[in-house]
Amino acid sequence: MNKKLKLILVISIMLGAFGYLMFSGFNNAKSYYMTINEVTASEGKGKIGKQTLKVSGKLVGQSVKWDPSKPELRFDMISEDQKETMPVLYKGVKPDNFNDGIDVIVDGKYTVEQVFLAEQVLTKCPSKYEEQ
Amino acid sequence: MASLGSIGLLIALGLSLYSLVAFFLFNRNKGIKYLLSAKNAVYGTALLTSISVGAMIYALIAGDFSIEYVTQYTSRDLPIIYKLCALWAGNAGSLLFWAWILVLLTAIVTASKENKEFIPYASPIMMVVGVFFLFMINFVSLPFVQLAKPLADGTGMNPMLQNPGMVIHPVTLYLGYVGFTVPFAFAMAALIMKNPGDQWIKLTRKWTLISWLFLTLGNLFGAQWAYVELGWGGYWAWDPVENASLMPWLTGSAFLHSVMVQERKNMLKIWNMVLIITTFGLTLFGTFLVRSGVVASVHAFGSSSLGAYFLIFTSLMILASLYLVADRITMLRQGNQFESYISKESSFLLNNLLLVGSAFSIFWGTVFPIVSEAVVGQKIAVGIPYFNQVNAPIGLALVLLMGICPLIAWRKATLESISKSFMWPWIIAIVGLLTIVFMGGITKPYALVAYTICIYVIAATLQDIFKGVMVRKKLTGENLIISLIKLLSRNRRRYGGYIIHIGIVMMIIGITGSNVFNTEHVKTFKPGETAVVGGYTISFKGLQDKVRDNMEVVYADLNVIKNNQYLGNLQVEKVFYSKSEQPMTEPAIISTFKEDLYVLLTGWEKDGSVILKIHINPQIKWLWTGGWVVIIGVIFALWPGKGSGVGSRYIVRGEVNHGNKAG
Repeated sequence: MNKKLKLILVISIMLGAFGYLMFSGFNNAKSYYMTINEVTASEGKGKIGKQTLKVSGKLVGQSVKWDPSKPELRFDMISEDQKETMPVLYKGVKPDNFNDGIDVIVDGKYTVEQVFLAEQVLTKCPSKYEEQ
Repeated sequence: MASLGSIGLLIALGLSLYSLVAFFLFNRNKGIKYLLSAKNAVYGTALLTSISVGAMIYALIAGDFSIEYVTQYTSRDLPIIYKLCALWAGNAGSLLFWAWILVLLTAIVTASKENKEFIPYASPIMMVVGVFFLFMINFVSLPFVQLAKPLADGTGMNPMLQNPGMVIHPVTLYLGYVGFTVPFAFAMAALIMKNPGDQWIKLTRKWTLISWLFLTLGNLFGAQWAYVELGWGGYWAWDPVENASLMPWLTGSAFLHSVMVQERKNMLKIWNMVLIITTFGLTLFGTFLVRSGVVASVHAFGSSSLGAYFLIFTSLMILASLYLVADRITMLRQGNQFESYISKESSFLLNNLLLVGSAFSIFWGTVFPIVSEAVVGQKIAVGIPYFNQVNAPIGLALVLLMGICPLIAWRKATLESISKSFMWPWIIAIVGLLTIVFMGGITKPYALVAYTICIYVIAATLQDIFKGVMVRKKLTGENLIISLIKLLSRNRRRYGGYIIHIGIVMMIIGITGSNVFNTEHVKTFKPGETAVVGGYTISFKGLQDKVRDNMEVVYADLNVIKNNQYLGNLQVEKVFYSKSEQPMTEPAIISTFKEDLYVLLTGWEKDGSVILKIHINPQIKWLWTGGWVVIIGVIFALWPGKGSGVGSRYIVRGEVNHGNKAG
């Protein structure tokens, strides 16, 4: 085998492996940004329960039910236009700054029971600077 | 103070613009007086920016609440160290801080005696960046805005920032970011001067290495800060802001390796230019990501108009540099070719491709939400599994290369010599693998592969040092210890690199252990209750509260015992800062090289029982310790004096023995 052919072979194997890694990793980890209105509007279309979603909204303070012994956190999120709410179930710990009206981003799936099963709950601090 | 600061910045901007004009006139052969004048303008810029920074620091510490910035990030009861840190807590202040480091570096470079011929070109290039930052703080994000009516007190600093990490992480990161401007400026100067050799690389090696060190530390301290402060048990979440500082680190690491090939073999010139441009571009791009609000991040600055300015400036700089490379491409093409696929230079190239590939995958994952929104109108995020899945194999391949690359010869190696030098390290690695499977009971494939590679790399590195010692001992008749000391200290660049590699391997061990074997438990403790969690016997004595500085603390008092040994008293806190409604959950950590016990107070009930979240994070201490080893390696390699220089070029044919094959 001549040198050039070898080189092309090695490079294409590397690129192939890299491409495969990127592609498969990508498909396993992508999630769609949606608003609460979009989520509740697409209910019943069947498709939505399979995709991982990233939904942002505001926390409804009085809806928070926190059972630390399990732990299990239930709360409602309300859309920017205050029209739609979405119940969320999160089997994890309540974030520190979980006050009424803060911005919440949840990662997870919207189930057929019309509850958002969150794998992650992120809160945005109201302060200006939040470098870690 | 405010007027002193803002006038200082305005004059600094004027002087920096003037220095550009004067440098230009000198380069147009208008006379040496313009060079002197330009240099003085650079020093003047540095002086005036320093005065403004001094004014800001004074205002922050004295609590001058007539300045808006001071009221936004400090308060009367803030500890003095955090009043100082408020300098880089907000947009305007951190840009001021950045500009200050940059003009100071420019002044140091301009004043240095060893690179005289480059200065008329390198200095103005750094100054162009300086002008941009000075422009930003003069007209876009002003640190010295005064309030019509001074306030009695400020709103204080975000409690999450009140941590030792805030003192050191931004400083190290900024030094790393800004430091890469120096090699970039010299690379561009070399192109303008039509001097594409390795002179610019030699001149800036120290700068590159120190900047790389600061970037490494910046990332590491950031991770450590997240670990001890954010309370989710981890230290790295592939957040856009974290990625922004990791990407230039990766391309900077590639650059550090590939310049060696240019120095030794006079090749890869275009590649090195592209790498330094990319690294510099990424340092600015990171700032754009962090400050523009285009990507959602838990720890970005609030969104602002700064992003657009950064994007335009970064694009212009990159386009101009690439144009320069294209214009000088024939000059850069001259040089040697690869002679063999099995050689040190080709393994360096492989290392480069892996590092750049990793940086590319991270870049793609980070900007994908923006790209997908622009192209298909649907914002799609890519989560942590993507980054892990792509970068874990690349990382392991890179570590493996650390054990291969230093051992094979420049130019052309034979398979026979390679298999000879690799035999013992592999035997040791296999023995190590069998030991951890049968003695340690570890069966997870990813961990086994990672540990085997790490053992191999350590064995290969030590073997290479041992061989060198033996050769030296034979030649000089010294005893083992003296041979070792002299061998290491006379080839400090090579062995400093080895020390850095060992540090990185330790970090990989830490990353592997903490990612593969971490466990978490949630448990409710009644007062006086004792329970065994993850091998630790934890007894809860009771819920207490106390007042500390500017905060109220509620804490669970715990005693921890393991294997009949008392490990200590842990106070797991929730902290209520006076200026902030929200409490902060502060983890309590018992850290050993085996594992960390990481406990969080997640809540309590009326009867005085508490709910604790307990993470067992194996081997994390290796990650932080590896960082210190890297620092030692860099200092060892850079310590001035004999032995820190580059090894001789290859002129004659033939294999060079292990003892002085400086790399």
